[in-house]
Amino acid sequence: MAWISGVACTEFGRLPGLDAIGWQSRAARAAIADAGLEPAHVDGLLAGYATTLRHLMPADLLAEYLGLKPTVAFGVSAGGATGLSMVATAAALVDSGSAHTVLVVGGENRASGQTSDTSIETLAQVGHSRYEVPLGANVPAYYALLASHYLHSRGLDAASLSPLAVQMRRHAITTPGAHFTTPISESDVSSSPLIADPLRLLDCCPISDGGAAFVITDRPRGSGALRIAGVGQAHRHQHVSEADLENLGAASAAHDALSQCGWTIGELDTVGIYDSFTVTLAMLLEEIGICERGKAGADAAAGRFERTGTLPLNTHGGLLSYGHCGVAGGMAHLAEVSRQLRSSCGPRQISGPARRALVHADGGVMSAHASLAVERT
Amino acid sequence: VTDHHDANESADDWTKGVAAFVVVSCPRCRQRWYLPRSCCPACGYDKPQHRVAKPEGVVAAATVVHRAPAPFGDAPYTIVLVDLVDGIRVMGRSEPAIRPGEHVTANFTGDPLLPYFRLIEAATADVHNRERSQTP
Repeated sequence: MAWISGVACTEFGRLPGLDAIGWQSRAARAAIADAGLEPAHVDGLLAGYATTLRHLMPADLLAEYLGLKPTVAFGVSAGGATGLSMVATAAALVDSGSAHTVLVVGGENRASGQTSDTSIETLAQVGHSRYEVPLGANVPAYYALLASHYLHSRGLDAASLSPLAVQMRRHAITTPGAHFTTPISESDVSSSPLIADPLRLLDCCPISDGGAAFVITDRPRGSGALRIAGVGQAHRHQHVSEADLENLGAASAAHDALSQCGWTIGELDTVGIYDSFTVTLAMLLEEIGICERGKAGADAAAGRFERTGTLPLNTHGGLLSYGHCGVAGGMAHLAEVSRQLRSSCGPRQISGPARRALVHADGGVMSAHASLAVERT
Repeated sequence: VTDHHDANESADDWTKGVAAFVVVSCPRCRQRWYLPRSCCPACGYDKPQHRVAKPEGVVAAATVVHRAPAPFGDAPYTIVLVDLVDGIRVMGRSEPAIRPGEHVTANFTGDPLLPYFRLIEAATADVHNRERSQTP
């Protein structure tokens, strides 16, 4: 059995001063301390890629920097799903006895370490280098194509996604460390500048600096260990040109995670779902089965995802408003549900019970999917 | 129809400056695909066949890109995913105001050469639809 014993997520934002290793180190040290452990206890290290680092061996690099001497260490690269994939792999390592204490780290100075154009160009490479990228396609454009299909197939207009952006901002306003905390309305979203039609500026996550880390252990450590109750992954395509837009892999990954613990969607107390764009969140919520087809935006507008709602969602503010610094951005959802399950969110604590959570992330263009079911025992 | 025993290289198509989409198919399992591969992604057969695809189809998704990094400084421009009548989905540029479900046809233009879709007039599309339904 694998446990999330240490949890750390830094503030996100445009925060110059640290490089990628600096953010990773800060998050890693905090997660080790949170687990009540010392660096010497770490015998496994998984490190996510960083676009501002571009190193072949990110785990060995970080291990040396922190003075760790793990017996298993490697870098992981699965886009936005990297963080949850690493946690799933760490769980397998401790379950198999290959390691006892695995540190999982992501972080980079994505906002302040390079220009926005460099970030956009780097990220666009998840597209096909000959058949997509030369057409001027980039990540917002790939997701705009998904949004075009989503809205057309469900008979919705672009404004139907706006409540999701508003809800993420409402959560971020009261979350310490969030990138964006100025209140926004649905009309602010639907009148913000077009980035890739139908997606507008406020449908898109920002580019942030930050880091996050977890310590995954083979027995509960520290005072707030949470059980990893189920894991699931799916990898169906890389390029949007070959994606099955109605069966992306999210449902498969989430179903695998939930079936391992026998939970239903209705038994979840809170969820953390990847939200690089409003449409990302809508498509994942619907494919996983949290929302009915075409109803994600309406559910947000009705208050279902509030901290006092029937299913609090991304209560830190998600990628859309807490911010997105790459691998750590996709880890922040798990950090938040962990804190909710520990009942350590203070004024942000969800009003209902907090025992069971599901988190899900996608990487690329809905290409890599990873789900975790997490439980406070 | 040509055989490409070598490789993950595509046959000559727009990415190599030849004004065409190429559909790749597996003579063993009949799978069709677009992005080049040396082996069939369905059955693994390693002698796929290439032929020029008819550059017509139905729009699956469309976006107008308003914000693009420096190499694509000509924004706004429209990008579409089109389901070609030959059974593959391709990405291309298109005229503005294209919507999912509309019938389009492509020519190839510019340097570097890019596929550019435009709307088929409704009447013309009906003729094409009839022709298509008569094709086995």
